[in-house]
Amino acid sequence: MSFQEKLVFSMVYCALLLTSLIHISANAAEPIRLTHSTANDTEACYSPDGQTIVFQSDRSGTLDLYTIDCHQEGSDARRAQLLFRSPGHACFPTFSSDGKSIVYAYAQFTATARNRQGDGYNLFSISADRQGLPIRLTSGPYRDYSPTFAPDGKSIYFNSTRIGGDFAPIATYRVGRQGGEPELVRQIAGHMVQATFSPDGRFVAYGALRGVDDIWTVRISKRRHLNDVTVQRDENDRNVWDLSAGFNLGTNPNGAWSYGYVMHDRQLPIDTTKLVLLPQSSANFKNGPLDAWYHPAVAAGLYADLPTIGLAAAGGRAGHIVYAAGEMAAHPGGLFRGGTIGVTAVVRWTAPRVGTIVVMGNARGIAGGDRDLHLVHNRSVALESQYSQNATELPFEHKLQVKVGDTIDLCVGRGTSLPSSEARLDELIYYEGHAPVKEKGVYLPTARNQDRVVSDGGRESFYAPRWSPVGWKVACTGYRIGDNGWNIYVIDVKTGEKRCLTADQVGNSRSPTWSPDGKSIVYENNQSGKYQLYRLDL
Amino acid sequence: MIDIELCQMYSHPEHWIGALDEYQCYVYGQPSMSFLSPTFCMTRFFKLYLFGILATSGATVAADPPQFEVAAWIDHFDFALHYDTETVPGLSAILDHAEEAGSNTIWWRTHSGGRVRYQSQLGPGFHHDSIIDKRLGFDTRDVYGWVHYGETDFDMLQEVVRMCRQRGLKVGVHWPFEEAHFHSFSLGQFNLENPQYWGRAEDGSLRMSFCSIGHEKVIQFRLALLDEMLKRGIDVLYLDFMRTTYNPHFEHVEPIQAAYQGGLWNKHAFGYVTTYMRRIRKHLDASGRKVELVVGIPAFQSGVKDTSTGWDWLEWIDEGLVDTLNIIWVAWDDKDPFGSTRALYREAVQLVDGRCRVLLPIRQYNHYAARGLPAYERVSGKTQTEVASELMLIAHDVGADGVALECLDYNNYVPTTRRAIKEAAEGVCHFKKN
Repeated sequence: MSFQEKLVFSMVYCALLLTSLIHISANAAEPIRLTHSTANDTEACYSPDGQTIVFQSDRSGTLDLYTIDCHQEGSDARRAQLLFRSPGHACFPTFSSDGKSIVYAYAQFTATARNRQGDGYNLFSISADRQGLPIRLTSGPYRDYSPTFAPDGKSIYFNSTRIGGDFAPIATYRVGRQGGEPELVRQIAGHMVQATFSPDGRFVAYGALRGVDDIWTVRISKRRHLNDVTVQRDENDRNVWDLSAGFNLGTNPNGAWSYGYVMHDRQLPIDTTKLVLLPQSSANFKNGPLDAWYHPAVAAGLYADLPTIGLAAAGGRAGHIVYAAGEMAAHPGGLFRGGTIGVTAVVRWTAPRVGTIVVMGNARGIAGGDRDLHLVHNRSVALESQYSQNATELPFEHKLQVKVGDTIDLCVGRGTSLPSSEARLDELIYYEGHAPVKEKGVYLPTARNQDRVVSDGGRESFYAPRWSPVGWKVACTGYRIGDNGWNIYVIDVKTGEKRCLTADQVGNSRSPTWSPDGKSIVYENNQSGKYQLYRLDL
Repeated sequence: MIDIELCQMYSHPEHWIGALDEYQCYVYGQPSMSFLSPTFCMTRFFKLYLFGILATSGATVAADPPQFEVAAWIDHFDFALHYDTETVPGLSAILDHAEEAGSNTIWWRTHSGGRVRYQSQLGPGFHHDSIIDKRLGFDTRDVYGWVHYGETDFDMLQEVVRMCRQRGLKVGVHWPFEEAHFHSFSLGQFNLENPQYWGRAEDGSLRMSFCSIGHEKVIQFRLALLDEMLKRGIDVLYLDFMRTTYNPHFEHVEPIQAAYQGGLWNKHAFGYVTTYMRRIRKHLDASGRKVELVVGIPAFQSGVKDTSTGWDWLEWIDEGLVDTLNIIWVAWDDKDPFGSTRALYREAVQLVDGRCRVLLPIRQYNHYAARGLPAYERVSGKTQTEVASELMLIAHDVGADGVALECLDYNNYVPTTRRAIKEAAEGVCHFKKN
């Protein structure tokens, strides 16, 4: 080996060594054990001031709530303080935004099957200073769990099996912090668990399991998708139109929006020239959750089911369909099946002025049905056409020039064979230059209602996301092929980087929660044989 | 003096039904006060008396032919709307229901939805099935939303075994090979806690579906579960190979891939199931007592020695791993329902050719291939009772060792059907036909 070769070799070696040291340094933080029990201490949550951690523990045989003071040192001082104990299971605690109360899920099953247990897991609130009795927030024989406060602190999002049915899908609900009737805010095909919000409140991440062959993934959605953001309703000089936010039952047309139908031969190109406005409107249409425009009878004796376009104001079930609050839906109506001419429901937007617009949205089928979906410019230019079956989706985004009176029609027609043609609709139209603020990132959704999925071709599984309170990182429980079990991962939703924090720690690591300053993560690990809480300073 | 009959009973499990007291006292060595019972004393006295007469008369002692078995699959949670199944009286009522159908064997379902319905110590998820785990998804409901078996203050399996003993019933567990209808939850808590053992497709994508038996840790866990059931005194381990979504395409895990030397992948992967069956047999034999291994195979067709599932069950029989083969359903022909059933029943018995016992179906469930009692009724125009009676006679006539009722739920075998099966089991079908 020549001197030059030795020199190059030495430099490369030093560089590799340095890189290695830097890598070690970057991961040098050792986890600090926070609890020292012989039970399972799990599901930790920081108080907003970062002084206290609340968690659940099965020290007594059932699940109870405990707290630890984050600033007291020493194992004795760190001994957990009992917050709430009862004969039942108290779990998934979370601090309110002001730190004064803790909301948790609780169940006590005292009755056997024949006695019909009245309630299941429901949400309760208890004072963080241990004063007073728990306050019930929800009720019913469901599983209400994994509560988290909305960014404004005024309401609580949680997961529940309230939809019911054989497979009891888990959806996201919202209830006021004083309790009341929960409102369905989002249901996906499958289960969604543990919503967590970005610091600016514009995005939400959640764990999703969409089928029996699926694995848990973390998905990120625009918070608008949860149907709880107030959208400007001012009609004067507006640049942005939102289909669901702008809906009302007062007049048709309703500003730029019209709700109608056409008779359409599905074997021919779509033509909405002969749009007929739906003449009647009704709140709680057909005793369901929809506020809808409808036609009482398109042709007597022919159309048993009426063409409707409506908004699920409060969420709930109508027949076999469960609507989320704020969701728009359209049904073409009619008995037509497999022939040629049938009803197509049409939501029309009419341009008030010339300019370049962006039309974006999604039309989503309802499982078990089929339908024809079209997005049409000026009555006959099909921007999108899809024969939709079951739960297929038609996300769209188009930029186009319009003149005054140009129309954009979102159409839902009868399919050919299956029972339901209903579709959920989401549509946003804005003039160029007035786009709602967008954040760009690998895992940040840009198109409306098209979630980003943190996945690597099914080679990794993530769940239990928690958004960092100070940035664009999401911590979650994860497994990637090659891992020895579950680990804590931090995913940068902008760059897509996935960093494993616990690769060197024996056992499973799960359920991370961020400190309020975003500098530490507390999680549970079972290297001792039981799950104990650990803290990792980043 | 050596009690010949009791010795025979020791080596012939088919005699256990009629001699439970002896079986309990002598075979398992489990002391029981039941030997003081009038029934036991009378029986024992009669046997000794009979033995004395036969001995003094110089006659040869001949064993009775084996009793014809009527095995009931019991999903106890399917009775939850009718009985208080979280209590001992509720479980007892289920056994009453089964006995009304002449059942002399109970296959009790201990696993469902990936959860164990007894007080297992193999994970908190088993012990408290009412605790929410946010990783659970499909079929996570509690039974009917309000049955919480994890909250019972007694061990359900142990109690059922005790009650079956008292009633003179052979008792075992119905253990679906993948343990649950929905493969997301096979092995329950173990699956959730050990993603490193999950199955994988050829493209490397993960399947939360099941933990691959290519991993020794997975087999050890299954055997530990089996130990728990054995500890509770079961007589029978019934492995059901129908309620499974096992798929060799998801067995592309390192140990199985490393051992692959070309050829058919499915055959290679299924070999691991056979290896697992050998481990099960060995484990049962090492338990120190005779535990019957029943294997349930669906979709028996004429001339097809391998079913659509691909299990090498004939190899298992060849190797002597299996005590009893339960044919879950046969692919009978609509054009001749009973004639084709008879031919298939006979073929199954002849195929096994005495290498193990054979049970044939009187199946109320009509799932999967619509070959259950409702299909017979529809095609033949006969009532459920008439169909069940005919199947009972056919099974007996072709030389089967018994029948299996899948699944015996509340009144799905109507009262007249239950009576008819019971009467046949106690009458013309009492003993296996030689």
